[in-house]
Amino acid sequence: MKRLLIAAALIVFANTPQAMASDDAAEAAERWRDVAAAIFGERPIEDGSGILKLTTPETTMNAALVPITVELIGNRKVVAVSVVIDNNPSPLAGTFRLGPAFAPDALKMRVRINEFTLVHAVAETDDGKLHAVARYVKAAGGCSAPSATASADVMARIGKMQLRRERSADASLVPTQLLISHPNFSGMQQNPTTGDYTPARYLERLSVNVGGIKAFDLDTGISMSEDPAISFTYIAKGNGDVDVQAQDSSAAEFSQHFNALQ
Amino acid sequence: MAYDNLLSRRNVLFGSACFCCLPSLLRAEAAGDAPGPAATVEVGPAIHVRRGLHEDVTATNRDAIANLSFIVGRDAVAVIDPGGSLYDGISLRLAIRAVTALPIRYVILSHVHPDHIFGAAAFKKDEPTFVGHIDLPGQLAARGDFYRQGLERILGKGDAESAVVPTLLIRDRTELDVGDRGLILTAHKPAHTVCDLSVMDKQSGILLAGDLLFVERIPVLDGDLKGWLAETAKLRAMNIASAVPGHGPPLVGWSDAEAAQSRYLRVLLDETRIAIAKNIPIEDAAASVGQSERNNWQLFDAYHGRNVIEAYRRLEWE
Repeated sequence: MKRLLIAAALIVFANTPQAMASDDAAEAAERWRDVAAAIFGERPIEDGSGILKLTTPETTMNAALVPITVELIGNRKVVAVSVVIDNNPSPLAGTFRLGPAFAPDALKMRVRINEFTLVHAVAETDDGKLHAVARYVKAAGGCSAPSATASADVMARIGKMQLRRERSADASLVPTQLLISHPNFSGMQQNPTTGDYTPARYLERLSVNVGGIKAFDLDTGISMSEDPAISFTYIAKGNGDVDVQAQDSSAAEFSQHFNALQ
Repeated sequence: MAYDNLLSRRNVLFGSACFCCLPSLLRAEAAGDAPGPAATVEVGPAIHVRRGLHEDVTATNRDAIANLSFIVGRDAVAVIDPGGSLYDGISLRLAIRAVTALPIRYVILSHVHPDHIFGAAAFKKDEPTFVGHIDLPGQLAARGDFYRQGLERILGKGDAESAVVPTLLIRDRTELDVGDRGLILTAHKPAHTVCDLSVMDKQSGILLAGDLLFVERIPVLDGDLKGWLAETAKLRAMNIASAVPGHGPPLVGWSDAEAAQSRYLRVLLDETRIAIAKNIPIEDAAASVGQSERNNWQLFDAYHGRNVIEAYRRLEWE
């Protein structure tokens, strides 16, 4: 029971779209056409398997926190990466617009999955073309799952950030995880005091600059987990200091400065 | 989009590749099978326990997966956890009625998890006082519907009535009496959940621990890992001889059972902290932390990874 009922959510396995039954696959393809049209308009979307690799967990048990990885592979220059969770109420989990301080490596994030769905990663290359890859994820309840974190704790640290950095063989490349404390209320969760729905309040925009040079700007929403966490590698430009600016849907702004990794 | 049909959705809810589901689902949907009295054992003087199964909820087990207890005093009965579904609650009530005709004065809800409390509706007609942790009503407000809907998907409508909200709320400690039989209720700080209540039977010295104590079945973290260890340490200081765990045998020696659980929780705490310190990503930590405990617990694969994720996301911000 606790699988769904305590965890509020779960995935038993994720697999490739090809593993779906054919009518499900047809339905999923139709949904993707609709979602893609809403997000990308009429722009054609090509197969992205030579450009992107999307990894979703084989087994995960918390649909409110599903770690996913998008790797940039191959030699094409990618200027933007979008993550789309087709069947979520707000399918576009985020669009990363990549800057010169972004090292074309892996991007990781933690997302909510509300029902069995295809997850798409879409790259825009510098010629303006779109390329997509997909994985099928079986998980449910992630957007309405109540958080176990006491809301007082969450609100006390809202907007706080951590930048967890590692050294790599090439000192100019810094593998990093950015954590931002934010409840990312989806608007679908109920309040422990009143039972009313907690109004949506979520991180909307995030910018990471290194030495004044853009690593990425992210437009995001309720499909990101509580306390969003994003992993990426930056190129230590300029003085190497990192500045993060964030804004949420209540127009609250948060920013933090991190000195260059010494 | 109904990607898989409902059936395979249910397979996922059941938690395993489950060749047994189809017949059991059909049986539940045909329903109408009346519950009989639950099998209970008397683990101490007039303390009766119905042992829960080490399974996830299924249409077959009717969510009878938690240990349920009742204590018969001179004047009345106290129920500690009324069951995981209406069916489970009715079955417990029949077991009580097979033992005594005394009024059911208290139905104590040990915490918010549905396998313990969704049988409460079966006791409404007895007009007992429903008792819970001071924070239980809030937790039910936040999760009650979510749990009910989840149960309904598995058990079908009718077996997953709305949760009963307690009216006697315990803030610290309160003693209740069922006639020459004092029960000390303690509201704990966040531990297994944020609303754990334990019951000490003064006469026997047995602790009815609710899910503050798991035996055999892997503990599930849904509150505060450090808090759980701290609350356990307080209980340890009380020199309890034996306890009724929330899951596991109906009665266990406290110290060995507590030691095993605390070992698991400490491994979870220590190794998750190390993983965070080493920048091991959460998805890798879920697969690497605490693997030494794998053979010590039933349902390890179903819940351990989730425990790591829960611990990790909290400890990141400690």
